[in-house]
Amino acid sequence: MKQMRKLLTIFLCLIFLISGCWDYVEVEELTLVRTIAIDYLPERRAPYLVTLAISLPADIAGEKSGSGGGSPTQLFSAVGATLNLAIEQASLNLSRRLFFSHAELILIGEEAAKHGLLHILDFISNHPQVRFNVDLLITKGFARDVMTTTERLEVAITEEMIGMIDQARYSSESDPLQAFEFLQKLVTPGQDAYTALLLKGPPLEEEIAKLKDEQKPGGQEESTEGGAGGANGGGKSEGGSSGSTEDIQEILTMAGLAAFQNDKLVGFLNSHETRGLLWFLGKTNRTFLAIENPEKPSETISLHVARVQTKIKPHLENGQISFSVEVITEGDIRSQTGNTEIFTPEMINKINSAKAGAIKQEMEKAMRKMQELKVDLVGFGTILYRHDPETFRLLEEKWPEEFSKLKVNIVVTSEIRRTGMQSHPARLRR
Amino acid sequence: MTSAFSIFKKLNIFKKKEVPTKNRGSAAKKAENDDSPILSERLALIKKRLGESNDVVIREFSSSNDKVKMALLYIDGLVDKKMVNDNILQPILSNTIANQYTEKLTSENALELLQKHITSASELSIAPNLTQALKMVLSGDTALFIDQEQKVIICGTRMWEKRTVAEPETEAAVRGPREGFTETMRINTSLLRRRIKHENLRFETMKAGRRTATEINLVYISDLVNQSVLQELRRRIAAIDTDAILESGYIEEFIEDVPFSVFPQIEHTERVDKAAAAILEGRILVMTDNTPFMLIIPTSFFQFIQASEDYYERPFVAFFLRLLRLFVLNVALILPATYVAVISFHHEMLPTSLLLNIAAAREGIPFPAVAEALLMEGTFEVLREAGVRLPRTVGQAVSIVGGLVIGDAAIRAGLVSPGMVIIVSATAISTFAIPAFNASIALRILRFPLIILGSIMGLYGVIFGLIVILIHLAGLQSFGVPYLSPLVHGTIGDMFKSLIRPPLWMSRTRPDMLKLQQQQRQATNVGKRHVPPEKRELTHEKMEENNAGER
Amino acid sequence: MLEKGKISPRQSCQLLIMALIATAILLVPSITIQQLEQDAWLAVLLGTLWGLVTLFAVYQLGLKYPNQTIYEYAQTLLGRWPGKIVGLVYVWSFLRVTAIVIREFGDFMTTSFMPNTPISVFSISLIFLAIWAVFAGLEILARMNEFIIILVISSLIFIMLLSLDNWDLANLQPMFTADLLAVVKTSFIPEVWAVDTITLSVIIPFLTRPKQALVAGAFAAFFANGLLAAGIIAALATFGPFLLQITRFPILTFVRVINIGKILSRFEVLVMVVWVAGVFIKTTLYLYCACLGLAQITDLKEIRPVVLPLGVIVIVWSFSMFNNIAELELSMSTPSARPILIYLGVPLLLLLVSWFKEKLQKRQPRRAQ
Repeated sequence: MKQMRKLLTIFLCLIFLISGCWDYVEVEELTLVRTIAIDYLPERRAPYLVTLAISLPADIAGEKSGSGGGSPTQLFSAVGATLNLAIEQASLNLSRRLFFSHAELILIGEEAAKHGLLHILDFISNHPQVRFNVDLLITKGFARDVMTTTERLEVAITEEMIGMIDQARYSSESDPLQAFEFLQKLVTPGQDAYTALLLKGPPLEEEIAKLKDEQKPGGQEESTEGGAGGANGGGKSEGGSSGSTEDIQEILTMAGLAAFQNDKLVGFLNSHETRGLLWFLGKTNRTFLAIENPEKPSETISLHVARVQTKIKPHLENGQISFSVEVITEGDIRSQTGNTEIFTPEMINKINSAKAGAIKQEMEKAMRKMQELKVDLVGFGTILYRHDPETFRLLEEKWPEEFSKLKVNIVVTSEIRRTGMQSHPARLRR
Repeated sequence: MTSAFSIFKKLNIFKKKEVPTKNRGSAAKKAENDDSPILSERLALIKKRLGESNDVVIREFSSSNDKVKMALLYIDGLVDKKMVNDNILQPILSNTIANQYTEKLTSENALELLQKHITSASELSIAPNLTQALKMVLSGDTALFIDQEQKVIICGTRMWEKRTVAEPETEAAVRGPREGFTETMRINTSLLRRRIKHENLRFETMKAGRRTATEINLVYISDLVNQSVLQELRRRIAAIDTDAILESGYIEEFIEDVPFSVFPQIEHTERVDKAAAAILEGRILVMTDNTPFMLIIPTSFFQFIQASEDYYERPFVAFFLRLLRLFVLNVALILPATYVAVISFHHEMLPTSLLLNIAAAREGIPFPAVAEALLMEGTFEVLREAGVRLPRTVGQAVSIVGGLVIGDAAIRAGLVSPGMVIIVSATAISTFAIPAFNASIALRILRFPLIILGSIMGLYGVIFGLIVILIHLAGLQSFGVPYLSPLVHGTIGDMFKSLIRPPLWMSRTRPDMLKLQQQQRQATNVGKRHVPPEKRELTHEKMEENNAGER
Repeated sequence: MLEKGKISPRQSCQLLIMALIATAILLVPSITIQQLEQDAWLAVLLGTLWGLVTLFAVYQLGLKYPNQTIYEYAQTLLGRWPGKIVGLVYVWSFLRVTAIVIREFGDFMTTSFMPNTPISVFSISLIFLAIWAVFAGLEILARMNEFIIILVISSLIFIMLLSLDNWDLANLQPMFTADLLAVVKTSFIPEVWAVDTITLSVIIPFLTRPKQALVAGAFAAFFANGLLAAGIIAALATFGPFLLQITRFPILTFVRVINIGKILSRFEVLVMVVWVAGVFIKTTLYLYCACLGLAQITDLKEIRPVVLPLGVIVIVWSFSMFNNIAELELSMSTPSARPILIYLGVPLLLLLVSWFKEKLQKRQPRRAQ
């Protein structure tokens, strides 16, 4: 018996030592893929264009930039019939092994999104390395073009985009989703998926400058309209930091959403409509809202929203489905363009109702847009399913049509609790 | 595993018993044959047996009435010469003090008279023959041979140069008595007696080592100790048959349950307070002559992460320290292996920026991470060992400077990465934070196979190695007490006590795992702080006179 | 007696918990969610019931025939050869469970952690550990388990607490929509987890206090299945049933998305640790039961001679049982009569036989008078 045990031990040691180390890779033999940009080139045999943004270890990057001003990120592109093939192709250009566990971002070009995300999501969830909680962003135009943008605050463009996603989670102009959240929305019945939209374009002041030159009123794209609106301060501050000495440097903006029907991109929501949608979802935390001064319509008051609670309930009457949406918000007053005495209880009540009206208007606008696109981004169908599975099962097949003529009653309750550091507006005495 | 070893062990013991009895018997016979009551023949025999050693002193003389011839035998350096002079020689030779008896001395009544009336040594015994007498003489007693008398008078005159009681060096403590055991058995027993002034404290003498005849004392409290453990211990010590016992480590090896194990199965201590605490807890202390290290039996693994000052500091401090040591234990065992596994297999576990930094630092280093780890761990062990061997003043300097300089130079030369140096030094510091040296060195040894396993199979390999260690540990026993108890196989109370040291007034019982005769340690209502002293229950142990709370 | 060691009821309870959790935590969620969507946890709770039925039968038999394992009292109840055949059926099914567990384990490791390492490395190293531990005996296995269970359960609870951030309880709605028949059917499917209590039929004789076996077993069943149900609820609340249906290892997926403050994340390896430790205990326990059974059936005096051959058989079996992971999943999720018969039918049958025999024995002396 003793001998047998010895033999066993030796046998095992041999197994380990002779054949071991299959998955052994030294750290320095790896290249960390930080961003995967996926584009679709229709009418080609290898339609998937994959661009990998690869971070270099700090030292090497330092040496390189010291000698010849290289960036710490390198881009590698390749095409293939599937993503795996394309990546295989790309790795032919690399001296090191690709490693995907640290990829934090997947960018999908407009064309690829229109063609369908099924393969891409399949790739993400089936890959042993790619994390299930990578952020998923849709870009207008080619995703590859976004990657060539010059970084401004961070060392690499990937870091910059990740930072922007974090910022976007604190505001309400877009709602970036992680891969698993997106997939969850996709597979859950009575729900359509969406994710944030990433835009690349010249900074705002450049456009305004252009606008002045051409003297052409209107004619702007939907997205920049959101940037120019009083409610959106993000675009401005970002534009402000760029120098105007060089030729136009394009910048990235996170605004709006890409709406999907099944796995195909069907349309975009601009930042107003996005916030309208987020009211439904109860996700509008920390946003600014502009309303007209109920006393003097020419003046604007900006409000800060701190807390939102949304309850959606389905109602079934005579086979007709309708939903009641109840939104309760809390917040405070931040500033006004005039000096009306607004810090009185009566005034605050008026502002409250004005705020409720504004929110309701926004929500209705978003609802109209969604019904137009026939995408149930809120998940009314899911809510119905949770309350009344049988009814939903009957409607499941034709839910998009059903949704497009859905009746929704919106009730908004607004509370303004505080009015900021100021007790009264400045009185101008002459 | 264990059973195989124990069978092996039993066989061994069996063999040992058989052989020596013959030898002993024949030797004894021979000595008896040669021994004769005639003094001159006896002295010749002594000279023959002890040889021409220059420390053997034989003093022949006659009694003052010249009727009886006598001789003194002692070893120079082991006896108190003044005592020999004043208490043995003087009374016999002079006729002033005890003259009425010395006058009467004849060879017939010499033994009785000398024993009862003449010699004034306080410690006196009779040896039946020469062989016995010689044994006593070799331990420092003085033998008084009388012509025509078979029996020999032995006077206790032991006195030799001894190290004074000093602070224990291997087990330094922030708080607690500074006394440590010395090499002299008598001093050591006195140190224990001074701490446990109870009539049931027993010192049971055994001897081992055919040539060294080392004295071994089993110290225990007779109404606490688990009798079966005591019995087993006696059996195992009696079965030791070897020529030399120079240190308690010899005994440890002969009596431990599983000889082929890196883990120490018997704790040793140099601290008197720790030894006393162990005895009071119902364990048995094995004292060996000529060494300050005493063995504590039985031992469980968690004793190695406990230090005596846990009981002197506040309970919260003790709890924190024990948690810390438990953590440190894990760090010392698995940190380098985990590091190697993570940076060569599980790159996804590290944050991106950390991974990039490690990768940048490892850029251009010629060795794979395993080799780097083994190299650095090996270097560290060499430095540590050198630090121990070098003279104390130099040692520290060498180990610190050596570590710093070599580490720094190795990084500069691009041989190792800074991350690895951090890991190795963290591990090194951790191993020193474990109170018991023999436990920490066991972990250090196990670290190397774990690193190799980690480099072959990643964390799966590390877990594989840990399970192997766990199978081994779970199979270990120390004198019937499972090695991993009380965490394993123990009562809930014991489990908590091994981690959280409860306030003393709350710890009412001794550990359950030892299966003692009396579990209760103190009065049951001591924990209730507001009970007036006169109403306290004092009958927690059967004692004729309880001195609890006495002033 | 082939086993000299004795274990306490507490230790047996811990062994059962480990055996239940080990495989269940990665496979059961996917199977039950596949069938029942958001009501999957109902099947788990119902599965406890079957475990309890087995437990009751086995416990009654264990008390009636103290110091006898199922292999021995099957022979006294049914006669020498039929009893041996029943015993062999149990040896076979214990070995089958071992083989399946080892295969699952290997597939899990190669799919999600080490894709380039051949599956044989994991299988062989695991069976090596199991064989060694079986050599060491039940007592040592129980002691190791006491150590391991603390780590496993605390890390499972830790993971669940961390995921609280991702929970959305609306995902559990609508509740109780699955029809009862489907729930009952599903509760039978994962044959292995629902009836791990069968191992008590081998363990009871080695308990220090056999009378407490019922409490220990019941506690183990409730605790383990409760933890499992909690795990399923956590996964459901994070992902909703529809996403989980398309994932192979829901709990692993669930851990993969935990990310708190970008620091507390990437706990997949913790799942691996839990899984390795748990599977080791489970494999050893089942291999032990099989080895002891074979030794008792063939009237051997020692368990040792059969351990190594059975270990090798298990390895070969685990390789040859399924060609690919799809076959494994299919066989795991198809209901069949065999597990019901073996784990519920036979113990109940034995219990009935023993009742009849007792009644006959009671009548016979009266007639004699």
